[in-house]
Amino acid sequence: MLTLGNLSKHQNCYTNEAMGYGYAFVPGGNAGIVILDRRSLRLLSNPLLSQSDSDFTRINLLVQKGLLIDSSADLAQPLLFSIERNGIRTFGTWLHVANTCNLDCPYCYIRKCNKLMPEAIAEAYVRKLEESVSHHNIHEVVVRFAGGEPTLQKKLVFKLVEKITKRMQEHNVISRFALITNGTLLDESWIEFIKLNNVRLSISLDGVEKWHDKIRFFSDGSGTFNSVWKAIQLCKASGLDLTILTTITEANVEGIPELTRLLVESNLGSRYGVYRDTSTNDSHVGYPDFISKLSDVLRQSYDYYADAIKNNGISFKHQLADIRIDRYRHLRCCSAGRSGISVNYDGRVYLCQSEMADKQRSIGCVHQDSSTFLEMLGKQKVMPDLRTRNVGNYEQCSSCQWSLTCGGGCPMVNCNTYGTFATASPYCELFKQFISRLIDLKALSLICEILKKGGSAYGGTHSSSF
Amino acid sequence: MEEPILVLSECEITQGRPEFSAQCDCPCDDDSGSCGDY
Repeated sequence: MLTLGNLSKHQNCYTNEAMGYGYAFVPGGNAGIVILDRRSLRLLSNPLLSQSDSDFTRINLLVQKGLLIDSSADLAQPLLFSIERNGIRTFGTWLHVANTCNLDCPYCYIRKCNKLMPEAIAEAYVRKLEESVSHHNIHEVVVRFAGGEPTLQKKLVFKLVEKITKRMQEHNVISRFALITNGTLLDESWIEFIKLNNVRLSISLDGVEKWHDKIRFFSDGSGTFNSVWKAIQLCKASGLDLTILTTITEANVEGIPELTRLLVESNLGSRYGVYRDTSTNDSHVGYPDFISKLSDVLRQSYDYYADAIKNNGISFKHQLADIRIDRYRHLRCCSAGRSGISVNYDGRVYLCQSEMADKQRSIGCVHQDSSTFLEMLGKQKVMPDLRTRNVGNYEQCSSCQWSLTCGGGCPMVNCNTYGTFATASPYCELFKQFISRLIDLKALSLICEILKKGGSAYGGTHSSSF
Repeated sequence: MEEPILVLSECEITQGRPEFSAQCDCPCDDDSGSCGDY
């Protein structure tokens, strides 16, 4: 039985209004963004305003969506952090099938050596994956083909997808695949393969031609934009959905508004990663300047996106860095150290692909180690706390309204900058500036979807418990 | 006239269609198993 006097808006709930509707978002809540009529928005701020049967219906729906909290029930935020499944349901691998690339991008952190993953190592990886899923009752595996450039290993990737799918099916485990590529070698046979096997495709694009070609070029120095764009068009013509991955550095930051226009006009989903080269400077010096430049270009970009959503019915399909505006609790930024590993071309296993340059940081080997992948993670001494700690007990994050959207940011970036992963990202101020903007953009997109359907009102099922 | 009731989560609006979020397969993708059932 709900008592109005015991109800209050979730302490981390963000609310706003657009186009005559209200909306609300609780980070880590399982409803994601909730679109509201204006009366419901008012009742969310003050449930005691309830007067009519329809108001009580609204109150029930707001409680169901996790926006109103019954203070007599113990649903406070600290408890949210403490609830974490012990078992690993999904296990991820970053599979570095090629330690070579046909491009020569200056910011690439992979120390390449022109070597490809041998078939015997790939087979050892699959065997280790099988052992891991059967020992640990894993329900799903996600294998991301990467490098270097994974499309240089066409035969191996094709074979691995077939093999992993079949072998996981034998264990009653779902397998999902992703290809992270520079796009220059994608042809019709790749596209057919990607469609047939439902592989998620991400292509790197760092700007429109003049910006992209400055930092993403072939070994002979010639720019790659035209061949990447051709591949993107080929994918789109085949009905293949893809995501653009953009790395924003000091070298291309000014070109981001122009890129945003191109991506929005082309209806392409995107993720903007942010990267400040710390290879010659291990402190956080320089981040504020970069963040200031980033803020300016992102503001311009998102203004354009908002106009395109409102005026042209474009859907919002974008992620900024580690921020996720969705219906999941991001207790960690990524799976590194708990439910995911990276496997190098030579079979060495690492916490993250960014660690591969240093063999001392390997945590095992697919063909020389008797442990399962999860056992390797359990006993590794490289960053042992990654397995057990989460954003709920990171310095500066535990009381942050937004911590469950970013999980504290990339642990490796945090560690390289501050000497510990268990703290707020050096991009924290940027994240805080833009999280509400990203919620606004997604909400706008959802409101436009409702309006497209005729703006009809509906509120789901409810049961009165007053 | 009273405003019609509307309290709709994103899944109810999109009915599970994925186009409202970018499919991100960067290394930072979160499959930690701690964020609910997919």
